[in-house]
Amino acid sequence: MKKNLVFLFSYLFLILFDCGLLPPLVASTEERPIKYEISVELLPETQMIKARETITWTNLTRDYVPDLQLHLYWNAFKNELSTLAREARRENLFRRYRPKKDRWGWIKILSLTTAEGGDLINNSSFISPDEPYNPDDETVLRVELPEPLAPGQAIQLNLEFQGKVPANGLRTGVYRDGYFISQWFPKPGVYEEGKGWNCHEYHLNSEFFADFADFLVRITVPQNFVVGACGEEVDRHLDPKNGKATYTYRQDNIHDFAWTASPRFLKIERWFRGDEEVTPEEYQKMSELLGLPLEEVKLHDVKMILLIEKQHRKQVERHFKALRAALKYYGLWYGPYPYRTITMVDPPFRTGSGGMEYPTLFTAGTSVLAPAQVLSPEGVIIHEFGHNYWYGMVANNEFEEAWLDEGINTYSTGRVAARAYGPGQLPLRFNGLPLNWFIRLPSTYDWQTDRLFISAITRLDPIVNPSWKFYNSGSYSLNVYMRASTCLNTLERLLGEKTWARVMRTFQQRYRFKHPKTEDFISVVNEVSGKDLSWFFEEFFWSTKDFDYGISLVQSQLKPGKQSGVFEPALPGSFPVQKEQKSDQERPDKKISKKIYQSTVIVRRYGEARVSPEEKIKLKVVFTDGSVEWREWDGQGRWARFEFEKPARIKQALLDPDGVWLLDSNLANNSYTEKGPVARIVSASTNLLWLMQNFWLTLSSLL
Amino acid sequence: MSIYKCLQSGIQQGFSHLRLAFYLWAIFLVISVITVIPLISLIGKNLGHSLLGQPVAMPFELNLVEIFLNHQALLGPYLSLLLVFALFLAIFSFFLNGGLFGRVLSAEKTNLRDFLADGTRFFWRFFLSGLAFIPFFLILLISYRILVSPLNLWTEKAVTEWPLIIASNLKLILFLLLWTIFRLSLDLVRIILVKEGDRVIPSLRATFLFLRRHFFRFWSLFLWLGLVYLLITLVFFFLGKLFSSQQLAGLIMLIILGQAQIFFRVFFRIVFISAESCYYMMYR
Repeated sequence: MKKNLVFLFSYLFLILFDCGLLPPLVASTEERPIKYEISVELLPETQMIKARETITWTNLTRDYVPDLQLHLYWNAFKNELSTLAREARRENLFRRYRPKKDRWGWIKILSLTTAEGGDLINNSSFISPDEPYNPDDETVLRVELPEPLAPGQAIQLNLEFQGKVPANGLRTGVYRDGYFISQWFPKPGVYEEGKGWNCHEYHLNSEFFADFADFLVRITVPQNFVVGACGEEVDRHLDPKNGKATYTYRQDNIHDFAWTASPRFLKIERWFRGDEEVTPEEYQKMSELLGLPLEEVKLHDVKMILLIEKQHRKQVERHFKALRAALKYYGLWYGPYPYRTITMVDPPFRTGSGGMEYPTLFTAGTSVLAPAQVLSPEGVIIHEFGHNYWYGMVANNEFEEAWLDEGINTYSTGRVAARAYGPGQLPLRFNGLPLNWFIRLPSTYDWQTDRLFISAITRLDPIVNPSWKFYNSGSYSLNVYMRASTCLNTLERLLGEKTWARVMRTFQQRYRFKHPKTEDFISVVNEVSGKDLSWFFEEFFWSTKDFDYGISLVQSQLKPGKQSGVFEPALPGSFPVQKEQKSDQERPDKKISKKIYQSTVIVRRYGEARVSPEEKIKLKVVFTDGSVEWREWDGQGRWARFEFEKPARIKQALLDPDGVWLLDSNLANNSYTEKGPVARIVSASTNLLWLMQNFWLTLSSLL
Repeated sequence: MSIYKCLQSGIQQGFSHLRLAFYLWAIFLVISVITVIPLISLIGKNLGHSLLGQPVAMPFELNLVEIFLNHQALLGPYLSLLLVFALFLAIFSFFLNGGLFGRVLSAEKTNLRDFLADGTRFFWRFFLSGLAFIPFFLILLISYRILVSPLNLWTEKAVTEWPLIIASNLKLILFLLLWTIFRLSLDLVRIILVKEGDRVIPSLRATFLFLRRHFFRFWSLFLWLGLVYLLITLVFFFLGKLFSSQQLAGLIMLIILGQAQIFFRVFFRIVFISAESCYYMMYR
């Protein structure tokens, strides 16, 4: 009976939860500038959407605001003249985004009125706020208001719009009856006090930026479609007569809204229970590490919703396991996930929408052939979920400082994956078949592959750079994701686990539901660590300098027994005499009679970047007699020489022996040993030779 | 029965021409050593005195990738070197094939002098036969495009990944099958060139006359040989998985196994030519 009562209460709780009657977990401590109410219908026969939208925008600044600027992102897919198309063509990527059969995507506002009925459609025009100016881009609409909006004043806009779902969209799209709908509704930019609107065009190498808002969205689709969306489903209305269903979703305090619909989805729900996933010992350890009360590190229960393509049904458990790991570790390190649901979407086939984040919803992506030893889809699940922290809650401007979410989240992904899974094998494929089936590929941690790409960076751009101003997509992603992540891994090693954990926690908590900038991150690092690390960011985030310290010379020579030359005589006043002077080791009056070696280590700064003089680069020198000498170098000059006089030769020399400076673009020159890894080099050389023999034989056999 | 006989004869002939296989193995070893030296010296220079695993532990493969990425400026000159060698080898291959066919199809024992003499004797005719086959290679590509078009239609309408994976592998198999037809035709022309002492065009005509009558059986012989070759290569592959390069004995075994596989590859080229020749002689 008791068991039944517990079950009954749990059931009631679930019903209340599902109906949205319980108070939200996300505290509404701050007034948000926007409220959206949208009713949208999907029209599969034309692959279009039609919608009504009410935007209530409140001027929370001290400025008088004369206009509103709205993103109309789908116009990026409207023609070959949009900024996106021009940028894609510049990088020879246009074929990837050009829709087949000219099924271009677009969005058109049919009516735009104020609550009082004033028509604003004639007061609106497309603008191109970014450089270079593109008069043909239609992704930013400026709407002139009848009169400037005073501080604290609100305006309600009523819109009707239609959109054609892009066929070969970027992050959004349709293939047959599978839809992923994102960046789909007219959305105001962010008004910055004293600066005006921050509302960028849709760029190839950029994601997004928007204000926190409360959403209520009704989605009408054919009845056989399975739907997933941001936030909580609070109502469902079936209309069997018309064969349609309307789903209502609500979510406060998010800055974007995406949804998906397909008849080929399986929808599975599970619960993440904080007290089951984390042991009391883990809570205790985290509480001590962060210096926070136990209650502050406890995790909430979260409803996990998975929409997965039927072809991937065998991977349901892998998806949930990865999401549980992400909820656990992000929650423990950066603070509990504050929303009540998280929706994970295995995106509809060929919609080009995989691996993307939206608040409380993300897309992953997998393959029907996914070997267990390769962390895919796990890596992408952890990463895209992590964006709920870095982008979702700490909502930086992705157009202008993408590293703040991508870099921090790439770093975080690597940490979670390492903790939950250990290293994963490289995900290489041939003809759709995993190469892991045939050959043993190396297992790596993310930080290892991330730092590897530093070497590949053409050093054309700094990490902090507007996304559309990077040299190309490669430079953008290598800098913003990999190099930034490596910088953070370096900082972690530099400051130590405890300090670093507190830095990250503080930054997340202080800027939750805000729009921080790079300077805010630096302030937190300096404040929590008690050190001025501004130089680190100057050197590695705002510059393109290469960082490479290395050992250039190691030698040990026997100290000569006799010193030739002219020496001052013992008696004062006598002339100097030419003779041979015996060294200490040969003087009979000295007890020391063993061999003495004069050893030298020369270290060099090969790159332009350098450490702060206070940080010092350590040098560890091990001698053949087992003794160890430590030296420090401020690393400011181009080189430094260290000399030793000992009764043993140098066996090993190690620069940065603790492996702090992961940013070093060439680790091979950070160590020296007399013998070297002969077996490894022989093995690699013979493998290369074998590959070359096969290559030439194949070429010859063709003729 | 005749296929089995020719298979048997091919293998016997292969064993009787081990010296020839050795010459070819040695020649390719020299070419490969020359072209791989820049890479090996790059590795040696960068890792020759390095303490792998310290201060930052990375899988060895990543250390190698890092070295190559750090020296990506050398990629252009190195690729140019490879291109020069590829052009040289392209021409040199006609000479090597001349020597190979000449010796395999001769009843005499192989020695280096005769191998070189045959290479010189047949070089020009083999070169011309290669040129004559360019149009057939284009036909092969066009046939391939036509044959894969239904697969392309299938994948365009796919709603799951399976059609893509299946189709891309079917395309690969299809290309390899078409390639075997091209290859066996070229081999046959060269066998006729050597055996009959004809010029290129008459040999081509004789080849097509022969294939018109015996194509499918001749092709099946070629496919059987290919299958045997593939299976034995897989054995090498699995044997390789048994050893670890971390230990000295394992490393030595892997080196020996690698060179054995190369030798086997050359050896089996002789088996192919012998078996094809056997079949031709049987039914010409």
